[in-house]
Amino acid sequence: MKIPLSSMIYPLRCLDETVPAFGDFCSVTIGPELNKSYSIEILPLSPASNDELVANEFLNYLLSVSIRNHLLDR
Amino acid sequence: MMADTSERMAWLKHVSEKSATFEVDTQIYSLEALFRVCYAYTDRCYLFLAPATQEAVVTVRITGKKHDLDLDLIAGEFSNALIDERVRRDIATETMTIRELIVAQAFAEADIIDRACSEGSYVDDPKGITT
Repeated sequence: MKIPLSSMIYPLRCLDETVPAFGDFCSVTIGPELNKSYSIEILPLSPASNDELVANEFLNYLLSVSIRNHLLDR
Repeated sequence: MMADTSERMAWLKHVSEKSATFEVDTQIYSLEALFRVCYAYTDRCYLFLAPATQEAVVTVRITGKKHDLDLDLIAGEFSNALIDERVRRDIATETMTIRELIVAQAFAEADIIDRACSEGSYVDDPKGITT
C-alpha cells in the first residue's frame, strides 16, 4: 500500500520513531522527498493481517508522533 | 423542519461507508489547533491529513475505528472542537500579558520578601512596631 505524505505534516524524522514501533507488524519503504512530500509503502509481515487496519494504525501512530513533534518544536 | 444531516453537513464528503473527508482552512483554524484536535480524536477514529489543492487548506480524512461510528456526528464534534481550540488560543493570546504579570508577581513576592521581618518573632519586634 503506497501512501503519499506531506513532510510539512508528517516530518520524515517522525518515521524514525514510528517504523521501529511497528517492526513486528509491517515493513515500511520510504521514497525520496520531493517538493515537501514523499511516499511510504507499508507491507504487512503476516499474510493473515488486515492491510488496511495495519496502514490505518501506522498512520495514526505517525500522526500522533508528528503532532507531538510539531507542538514541542514551537 | 430541520434538513437531514447530508444537507446540513454539505462540507462533509463521504468517500466510503467508513470514511469521510472535509477541508480545514488553516488561516481560520491554525495548524496547531488542528493538530491538537486531531490528537484528541485518535482514540475514536483513524485520521489522515493531506494538503488540499488550495493553499493553506488541509484535507482531513476520518475513518471510524468501529463500524457503528456515526461519521456525521464525529465530524460535527470535530469541527466544534476546532472552534473551541481557536477560541482557547485567542483567549490565551489576549490574556497572555496579565497571566505573565500574575506569575511574575507571585514569584517576585516569594523572593523579594524580607524574611527577617515577615518571619521574625513578635517578641523581638524587628520593625519596632511597639512603642
